[in-house]
Amino acid sequence: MPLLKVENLKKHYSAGLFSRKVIRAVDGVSFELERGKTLGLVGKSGCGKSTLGRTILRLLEPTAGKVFFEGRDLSELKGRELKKLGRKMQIIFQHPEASLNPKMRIYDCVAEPLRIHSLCKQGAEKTWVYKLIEAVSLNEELLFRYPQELSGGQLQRVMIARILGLRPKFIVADEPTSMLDPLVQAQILSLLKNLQQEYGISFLFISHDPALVEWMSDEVAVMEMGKFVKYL
Amino acid sequence: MSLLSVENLTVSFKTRKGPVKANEGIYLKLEQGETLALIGETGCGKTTFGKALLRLLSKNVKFEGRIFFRGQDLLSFPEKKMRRLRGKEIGIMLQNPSLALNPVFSIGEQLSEIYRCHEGCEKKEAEKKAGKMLELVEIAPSRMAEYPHQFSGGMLQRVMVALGLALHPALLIADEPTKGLDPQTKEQIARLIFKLVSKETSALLLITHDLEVAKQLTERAAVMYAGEIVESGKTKELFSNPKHPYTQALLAALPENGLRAVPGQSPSFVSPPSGCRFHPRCAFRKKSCSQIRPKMLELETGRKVRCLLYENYENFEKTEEKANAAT
Repeated sequence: MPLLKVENLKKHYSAGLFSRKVIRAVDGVSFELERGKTLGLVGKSGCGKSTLGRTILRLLEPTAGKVFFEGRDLSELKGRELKKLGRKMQIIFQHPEASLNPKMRIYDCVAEPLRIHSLCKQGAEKTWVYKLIEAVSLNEELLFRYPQELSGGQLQRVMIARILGLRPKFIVADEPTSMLDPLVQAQILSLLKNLQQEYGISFLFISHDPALVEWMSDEVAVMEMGKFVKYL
Repeated sequence: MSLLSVENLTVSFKTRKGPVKANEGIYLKLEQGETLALIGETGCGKTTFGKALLRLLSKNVKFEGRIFFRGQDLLSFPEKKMRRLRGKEIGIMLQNPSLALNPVFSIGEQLSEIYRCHEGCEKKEAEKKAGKMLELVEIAPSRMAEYPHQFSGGMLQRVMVALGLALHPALLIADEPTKGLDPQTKEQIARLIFKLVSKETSALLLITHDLEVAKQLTERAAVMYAGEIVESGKTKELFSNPKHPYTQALLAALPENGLRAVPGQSPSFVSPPSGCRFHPRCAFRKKSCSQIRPKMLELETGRKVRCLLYENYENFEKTEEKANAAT
């Protein structure tokens, strides 16, 4: 059984309040993803890559189609069950500056998901956070700073540490390095690859750079106008 | 006389933690119509350098050294004279156009403001000129009344090109013009800048971390690390035969070269490493690297590198010559 199975997934938007035109952002996408593998997704900007990533995670409600994760249909799950399964599916966003709360210290940013899912006992939180921050090779002294004091590369590491605490099985990486320079990009991507080998995480790696996708992925899909036009 | 000549420029900021030297000991020359890329990681001081040329930095800044533009020292200019020079003689395209443009003024208003301030144009005339400029960057003048949020990232970048070149400056500073754009748009913007700069015969200072764009747009390149220029030369040579270990690392990190990462992070400016600033991350470091601050060495004409590995390069060649002469 594959870890993730997507069947004829669709996400349509109406073009405006009074308009009857429909924008087909994702228009019938199907694929399967095994444990510990990476599917690379390339396409122009505006072709629906990010929408697909978000619809799979149910951050957006799909218009039609089904997503099976560990054999269970996500659209049938609600409330506590969805939260439990949702913990295992995470996302890394393109803009780390915009995805962290500017009023929280890095320590709290990393600890927050642990608290929400009550994954560690009281008192154990600190050791966990320090472990996570070490796993992404960040300096401990950064823990008590605010997000705006960190560089883009450091923030992206914080994002990864934050997700890693949840022991995810599947991560959508939505252009995680498009705002970073080549040296930092190489560091972040090798970090992701190492973590994948260590924990057997599956990735949906979204990028507009074919060279990166080739380096990261086991399989590659090319997207155009909401559809897969090539699947290798 | 060069168009721009920067001599031993040091830019430092007074902060609570002590002075922060964002640029140190920079020498740079740019001739009329020449194109130069300034390459380096985020936070290495590239943008500070670009803004320093126009004195656009915050108040706690301190300059040392000289910036000559057409033989005149810009650092001695009073603010009023400097204002007239900005845009007219040296144009700048700031990075991140969605933040650089004012969200409550339309594109047309922001572009025609330049003509009204600098050339004293009437409103209608200024708008006409602004429309022409938009046409030049391939945006329909009919969209002049629209606001920045109605434009896509690529189109905003075109607007920035128009703003930078509006008064036909002799030098255009382009700060990360292709950051965050997808490959096709990147290509288009690069081609547009190249076309307009060569048509206006302006000199171009391209500040970027995108090596592809640097290769495409510029004749010469300088690599910056932690506020210092560590290597400079012709762009093609620099990429095909990098000398400084940092440049080599930068090229090895490209996806087509295998995405090899360098361990460690760029150093803090408050307490930079002793000796060579790259030595904690360098794969070729020797003992002396942490003690001696390397000087800029000229290997060939126009090819410079700041690294101890090449310190004995000249002597080495000389001894070789002697040896040859002896035999």
